[in-house]
Amino acid sequence: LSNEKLKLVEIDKFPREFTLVNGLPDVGLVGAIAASYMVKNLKMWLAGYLDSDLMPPVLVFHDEKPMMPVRLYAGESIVVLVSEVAIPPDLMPELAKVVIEWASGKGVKRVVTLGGIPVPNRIDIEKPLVVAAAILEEDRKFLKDLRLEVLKEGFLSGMYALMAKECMRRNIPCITLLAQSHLNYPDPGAAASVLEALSKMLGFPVDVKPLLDEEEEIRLKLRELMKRTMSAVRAAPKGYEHTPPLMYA
Amino acid sequence: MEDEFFDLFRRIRREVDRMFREMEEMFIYPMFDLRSRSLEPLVDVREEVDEIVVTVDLPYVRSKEDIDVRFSGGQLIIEARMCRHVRYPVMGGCRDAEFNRFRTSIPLPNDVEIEGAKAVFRRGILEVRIPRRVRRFRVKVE
Repeated sequence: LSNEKLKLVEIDKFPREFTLVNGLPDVGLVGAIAASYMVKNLKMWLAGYLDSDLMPPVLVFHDEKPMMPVRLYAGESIVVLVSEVAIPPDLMPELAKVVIEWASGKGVKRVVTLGGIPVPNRIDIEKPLVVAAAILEEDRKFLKDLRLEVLKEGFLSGMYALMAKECMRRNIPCITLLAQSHLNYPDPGAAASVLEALSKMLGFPVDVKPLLDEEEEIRLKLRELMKRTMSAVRAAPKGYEHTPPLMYA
Repeated sequence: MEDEFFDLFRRIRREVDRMFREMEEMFIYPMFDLRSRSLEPLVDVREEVDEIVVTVDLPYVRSKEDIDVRFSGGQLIIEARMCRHVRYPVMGGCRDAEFNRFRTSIPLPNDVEIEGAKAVFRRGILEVRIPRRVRRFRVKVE
């Protein structure tokens, strides 16, 4: 599947029915850390990639093998979108369109986006809270039944909003899980919180202890990706999450 | 008059240098220095009206005794010792280099009062607050 700017290429099989989990780099790298932890721990296989001339001109090598930096991993009933590069702001709308259009054609059951909501007092928070934003009424009820906090008033912005808007246009169930996080430091603690919420939602067991045990190593290793992601985040119109919406327009 | 002009010129030049340096750091340099065997930490600088707030992420640094914060030549210099040596891939992962410290220098604006600076280290994050010289004037509301 492709449009002028971006193409999605399948290189292996995908499950017939699946939940698509987006974990692209954004504030605190929350979604990216959580998604890569899933890929590592849920025995997923590389099934596709996204490519564009507008992506950063890089090719990633793992175990001596070349890989595209933005990839899709498939499992029994989950597909995870991960990226090892910051997504250029100009490419974000196209990426959301291509991914959701592709997922829609594949019969996706639900789209879940993982991310962080920056809070200035993150340093004082032991266990970050998670707030969930849902497009459909039945999903909001589903989240409340799971005792997850549902976004009542406020904005989604950046990549999270683009994914949710594409799903809304196509009436695809979409949930965005956002954990309280650092803005510009990798935040494995926040990633653990969104993974626990996702585990409740999808019913798969997830042990976040190894992730929390590796917290310092992750903070150390992801400094460069965090720095590049912040330059993309600053260029994108983000930061609306703390803005109260206009009520009576 | 001449002194004032050159002082202003020097200040502008320092600010421009600072901005260029931030841009260069963002796009070009790797976040380690093989000569000094140090890693560059992630830094956030917030400029408030009455103070500059610098926070630095310092994983593997255990206590305030391992951190050195000083001012020199208009820069805030932060060095911190990690509790263990970490191996970090360089040369595309073909070689590992060993590091056990962080080091960074942060250019500061001219109007800071370094004597009033305070630093706190909590949960792996160092926060340095440096007051700025502020002319205060209360406006009477009629």
